[in-house]
Amino acid sequence: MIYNDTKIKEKENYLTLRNIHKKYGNVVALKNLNLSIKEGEILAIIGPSGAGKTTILKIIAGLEEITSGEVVFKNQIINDLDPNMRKFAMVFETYALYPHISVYDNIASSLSALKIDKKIIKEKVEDISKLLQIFPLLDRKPNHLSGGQRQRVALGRALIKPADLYLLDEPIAHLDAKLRHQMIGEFAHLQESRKLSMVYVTHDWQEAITLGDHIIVLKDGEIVQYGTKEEIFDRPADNFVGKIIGDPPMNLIPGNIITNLEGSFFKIDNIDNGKIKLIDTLSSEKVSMGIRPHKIDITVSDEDGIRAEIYSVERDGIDFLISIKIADGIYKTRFKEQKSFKIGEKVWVKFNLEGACLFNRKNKLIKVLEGKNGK
Amino acid sequence: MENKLVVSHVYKNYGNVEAVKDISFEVKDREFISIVGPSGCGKSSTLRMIAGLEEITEGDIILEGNKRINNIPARDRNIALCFENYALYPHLTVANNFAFPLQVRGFTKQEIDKKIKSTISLLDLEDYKNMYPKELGGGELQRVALGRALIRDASVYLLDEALSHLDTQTKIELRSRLMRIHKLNKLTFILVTHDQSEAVAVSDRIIVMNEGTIQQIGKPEELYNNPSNLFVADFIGEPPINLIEGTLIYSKDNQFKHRCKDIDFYLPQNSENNLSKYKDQKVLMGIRPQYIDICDSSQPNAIEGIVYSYEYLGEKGYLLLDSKGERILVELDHTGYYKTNEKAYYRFQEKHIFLFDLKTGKRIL
Repeated sequence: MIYNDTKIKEKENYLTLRNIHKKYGNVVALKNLNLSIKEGEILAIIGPSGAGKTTILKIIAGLEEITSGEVVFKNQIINDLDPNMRKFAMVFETYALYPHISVYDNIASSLSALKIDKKIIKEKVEDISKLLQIFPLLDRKPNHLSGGQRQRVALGRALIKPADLYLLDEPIAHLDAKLRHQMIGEFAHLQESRKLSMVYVTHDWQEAITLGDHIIVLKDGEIVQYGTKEEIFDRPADNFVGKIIGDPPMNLIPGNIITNLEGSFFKIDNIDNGKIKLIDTLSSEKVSMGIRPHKIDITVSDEDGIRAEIYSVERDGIDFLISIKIADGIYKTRFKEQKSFKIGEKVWVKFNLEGACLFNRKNKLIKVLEGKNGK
Repeated sequence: MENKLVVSHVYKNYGNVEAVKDISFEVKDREFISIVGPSGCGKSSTLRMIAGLEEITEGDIILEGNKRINNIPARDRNIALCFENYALYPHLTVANNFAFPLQVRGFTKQEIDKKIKSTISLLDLEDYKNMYPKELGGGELQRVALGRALIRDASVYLLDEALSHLDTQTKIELRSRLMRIHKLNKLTFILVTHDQSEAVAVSDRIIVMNEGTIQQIGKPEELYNNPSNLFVADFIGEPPINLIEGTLIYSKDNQFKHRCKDIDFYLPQNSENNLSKYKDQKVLMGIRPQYIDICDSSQPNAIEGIVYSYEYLGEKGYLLLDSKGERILVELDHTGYYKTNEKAYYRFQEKHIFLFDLKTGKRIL
């Protein structure tokens, strides 16, 4: 019984970072960081460059000293454990392959110390290289490969190694768009059966929300939000999260909530008729409204809508992205069908407020609007 | 609309290597045209020949209807160039970088000041005008490089990978700006890029090149929905088109089918005339992820698949299905819950099914 209890506990707290501070000289890289990873899940960390993503990986790997705080793996503090004693596999963005040996030997090298039968090694190398679409390259030397190919070799080398935890830093960032899409699909499939425990660092929101069982949004060394993909997409903790998730990301429209006897309204700044009725009754305050591009509709005749001007029209594959200007702000809308608007044309827009987010003066989420809002 | 630039049967050889082979196209006045293709396709050689940076091996390039420019030096062509590596003068401020090309062309100080002022406002560079290139970030540098081309009154503006090296956010912002400048100032732009999604985003028409030849010239929607061959179908579009190899069968119920590993994909009814000669032959079927619908098993022509992976993207999703080893990618305009290894049924929107000759890549349906 006791054994079982421990087991469950381990599963809940596979790896934990507790109150981690990291300084480089006077520069604070990570501030009071707390996070945990469950066994068998992918924790995706997303943030702009300089946010501290790679520093977190290096701390987990033991390659970077911690200024203060604890790294706990399976209920043991491993702060002082030598990196070689941690059974973690790593892929960093700069892939250090052995230049003098073939791709096959590079991948197999991570199994060589394990005394595994040669036949089994061959099978494993072939399996992973087929999955990563580098099978035809097994005989080549790394300097005859493109950046994207080298990256996949490094990934293969890490993934066939049995490890307690896999640490991946932008593992597919150098691939072209098509290959990246395929790799995401393969990765997601692989994870379904293998259930590896993984920390996956990326600046790409699509990778993060597709692959991450949980996602951390990091900014300036601090966690802005920890959540599932739905939480990150539907309930961004602040407007920073809204701005980095989505393509194009959430529009942020500055305004005020005005509440009077008729109810609550969202009033857009610097425009005369920019008043939208809300069904909820909210307290009056300065806010910005976050609304996704496909929730804005454009018409030429509806005088109930908000006055806007066409700013630009472009394509996104077979969809159309139309930018509109309301007061001083430029906002993106997305349509499936072609609309023949001209730049500079005066139009009316209507908001479908279902799912729209209100952020307060400090940019924190205060409300996600439900259906039936808006005129 | 009159033609601003005509490229007529142009070749470019480097020694024995034929980089560009007999290409012809016209660029209309006020058009935004892109030349797109993988590296080594000949797009850069084409741009360099238009700019005058590279000799034309054979053929003609005609500017403004009647001016053959083959032998006119680059600086006298009235074509403005914006390079991918910015190529700014490091010792000059932003404003002086703008002034330089005008000074060498003999403009008066008054004219130059006026033009600098309008270019700076066009590209929102007011805060940067007295700064040096090394003090600027990538987005600003690219805007300055654009400004230095746009400050000239040129017949044609050539943009060489002008947006390629910017981060996504900056790229999207500059893209809208570039399109506005193009439309509002009534300019003629030729953009060379390796990025098909960028070409699709901004262009009136796109020239797709591969191995030194033009594969197709068309509006973005034509390249999507009516590609002339396999290369164009596969190169344009993200995520890429699904390609399924199989055999063309003509069944007893007078229906053409594409058979792949015992799965029959029904082809549009009225297509038999073009297809008869491919009967019982191997062909390649193509269908874009956007034109596949998830449906009930009871629907006619529904095909069974097993969920291989599911990619949730908030307002849409991608479902990768496995039908007897064939992978089919479906774009969903909704989000749902799809579990790996569960069954799902799908059907193709018939009018969006393409067939290609397996050997030549030519489109046959």
